[in-house]
Amino acid sequence: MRGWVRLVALAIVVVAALPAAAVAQVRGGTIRVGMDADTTTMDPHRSTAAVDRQVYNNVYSKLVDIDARFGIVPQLAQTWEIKGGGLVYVFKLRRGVKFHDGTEFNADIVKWNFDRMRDPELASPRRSEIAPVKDVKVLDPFTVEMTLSSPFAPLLSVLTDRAGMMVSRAAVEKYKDDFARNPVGTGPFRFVEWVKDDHLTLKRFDGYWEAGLPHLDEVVYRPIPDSSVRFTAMRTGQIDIMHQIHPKDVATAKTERGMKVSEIASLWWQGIHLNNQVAPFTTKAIRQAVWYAVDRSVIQRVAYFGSGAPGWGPFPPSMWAQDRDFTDWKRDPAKVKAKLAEGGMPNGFAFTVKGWNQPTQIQELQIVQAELKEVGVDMKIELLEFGKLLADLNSHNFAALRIGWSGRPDPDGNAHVFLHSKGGLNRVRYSNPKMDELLDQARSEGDQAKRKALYAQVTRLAAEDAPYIWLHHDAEVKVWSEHVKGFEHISDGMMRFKGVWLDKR
Amino acid sequence: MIQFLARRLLATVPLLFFVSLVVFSFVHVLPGDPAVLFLGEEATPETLAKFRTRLGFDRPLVTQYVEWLGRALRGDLGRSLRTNQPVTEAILQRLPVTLELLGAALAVSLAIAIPAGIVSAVKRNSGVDLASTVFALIGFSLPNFWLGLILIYVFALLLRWLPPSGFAPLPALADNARSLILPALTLGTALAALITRQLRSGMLEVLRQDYVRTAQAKGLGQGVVVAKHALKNALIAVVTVIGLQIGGLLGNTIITESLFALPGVGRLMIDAVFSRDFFIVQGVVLFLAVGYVLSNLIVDVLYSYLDPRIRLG
Repeated sequence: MRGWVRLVALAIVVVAALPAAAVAQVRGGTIRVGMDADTTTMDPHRSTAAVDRQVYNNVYSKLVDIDARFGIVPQLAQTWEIKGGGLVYVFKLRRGVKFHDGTEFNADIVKWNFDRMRDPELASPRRSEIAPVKDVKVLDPFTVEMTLSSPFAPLLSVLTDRAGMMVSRAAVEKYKDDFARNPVGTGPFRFVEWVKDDHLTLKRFDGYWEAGLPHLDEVVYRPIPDSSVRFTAMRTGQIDIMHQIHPKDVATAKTERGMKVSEIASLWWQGIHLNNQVAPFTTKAIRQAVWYAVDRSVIQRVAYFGSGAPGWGPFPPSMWAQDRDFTDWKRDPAKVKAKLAEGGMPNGFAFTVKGWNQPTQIQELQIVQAELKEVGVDMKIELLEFGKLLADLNSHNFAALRIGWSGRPDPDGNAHVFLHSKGGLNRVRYSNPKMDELLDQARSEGDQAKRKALYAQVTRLAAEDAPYIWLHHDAEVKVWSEHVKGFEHISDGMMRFKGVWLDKR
Repeated sequence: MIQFLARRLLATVPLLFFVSLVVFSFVHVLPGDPAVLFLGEEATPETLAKFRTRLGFDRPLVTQYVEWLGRALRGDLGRSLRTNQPVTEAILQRLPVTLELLGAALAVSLAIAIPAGIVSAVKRNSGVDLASTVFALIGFSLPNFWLGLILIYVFALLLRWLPPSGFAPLPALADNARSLILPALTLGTALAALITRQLRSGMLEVLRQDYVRTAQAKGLGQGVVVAKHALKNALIAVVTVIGLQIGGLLGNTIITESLFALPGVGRLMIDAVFSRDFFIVQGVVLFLAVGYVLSNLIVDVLYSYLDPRIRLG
């Protein structure tokens, strides 16, 4: 008996020691993906839900993509040139690219895609993202020139997301509004079937432009809204990779056999919006009192089970723009006292914060509530359903409101909209001409080192004015089975499956 | 009988009209602008306005209601704002899942409640009676989602007997059954508890009646007396309870379907509420209201079968 055990053990060791290359890049198989929510529409020019982008990244190729270090890499655009002081972008397109319906991808298609996104009738959410693009011209069948109304450094990174995804003109003209359920792109997988709330299936596109890719035959997305059930599905082998694990389950996942866990910094920020036009937050010193009253490390330890990073500005640790030398965000009761006195409220004050009725966010607010209580500030928590919370945010109907931002690859997308006096998401009505100047300068500056210095000033000024109380930057966590190989984990959290293969089917 | 059915069906028309009015107004007074939820937070006021015009949300509510109702009467409930799928198609696609789930939950609850109710009435104050009372109390008090999570933990994670989530459609009978056992238990336990209590008290009542004593005096066996004479009459109360609980059961499918990731009508509705997909919400609620009215009609018809003294007409 003993001998048998030894023999088997020996066999296992031998098999395990076989070089990895011997099993590398197996072709075929189906990967089953556990999602937190179902896709809402398959039309990237109409999508507003973050979850949609997961499927898009495998169905649509984009003009450009980002890599793990936020470098811009070619996709449908092979090369590009920035001219005229950042006002003109010339893209040389890849030749021989076909859509899933067999039609050809070329410069006319790019122009048509941009016209579609900019068409006011379509009311595309992409329209504001590409607002700086004034004109798109076809120079030759595989060259496109974009002219901007003012220099806009984040343009390329905007094109790594939905605005850069090229859809088939023939398919849109054929299906019209039903394109939302009949997507056609140039990505590694083509759309097969979508049974809403049950599964969405993609199959390998044999005419994909990257030779030898993809390895998988099929990708099946399964929306499982409850995070515990989703994690159970992962543990019982119902799914091979999962999106959005609850922070409390990360430790368990790490000890689970046959499971790989990757934890990197995301693009998110979480924080409290303080309405700069509602008393008492009209007074800078009062906002600063709240800034110094919260202990962001406690929030990270308790509400997020130690995952992610304390948040004290719009830029997460994943971004080159984060100013790691900045330290003026620690809890400091003495400073709180001084600031309260300076703001004319030495005995504290009371206010109501609105928040989303979701466990982690409630816990986060409760911690803030307890910490404020200690310095004599009475914060009442009012929990709302997400749609109502958004409505209150957009109509400036709050004194304080807690909400997060999923982030954009370029730092501009995490700061300009919130901190610029004309920013589209500046619902707190914060206005500081110095801040506007810094943000505009950083947006039109092409040199990353110079932009970094500008964003360091943005961070400091934002902390000084405290229109937002940043609290946390979420970790971007993915969990997958050890049979899943070749998965590259990128901060935007998108699961790109073209290079993934399974060593067991 | 036919006259009764016709009259009852006719009476539902004003009711459904009222329901449609309530549904429509509720959906439109919900805080939260669908345009913002659809176009994202960065949308410009101009884009938002375009969107509202395209969908007719800028017109007076009365106009919107009349148009919607007119189309609904012709069987057209509109299209999903997100996927452009016709609402009726979306509902019909999901309906088999929800009906199967409801049927399975009902079967589970009857399978538990009928024996438990009978035994605890016949053997009143025995250990079995106590056990069934305790089950009823616990079963009724447990929150649905919690029970579901516990069942998933035990049967999917620890024992690995059943899948934790997902729906396997027919005709794969074995997989289909496996995918519905835990959801049916989750949904059916509270109803089982309620029926057990109803049946127990109904049986106790009936067993005291003279005709039961007569039957026993004729020398009929205990089994025949209980099954043929007592149970049938005690079932009237049970049928009433089930009829009343269908609404609650339908409501709980939302939780059960979300927990077990089943693609049913409940989940269609809750997703639509959160994304303010108005036409879907209106369509589903109207549809459920019709279903509820019809199921109560069936209950009324069942009465006359169970107790011929109840004459419909």
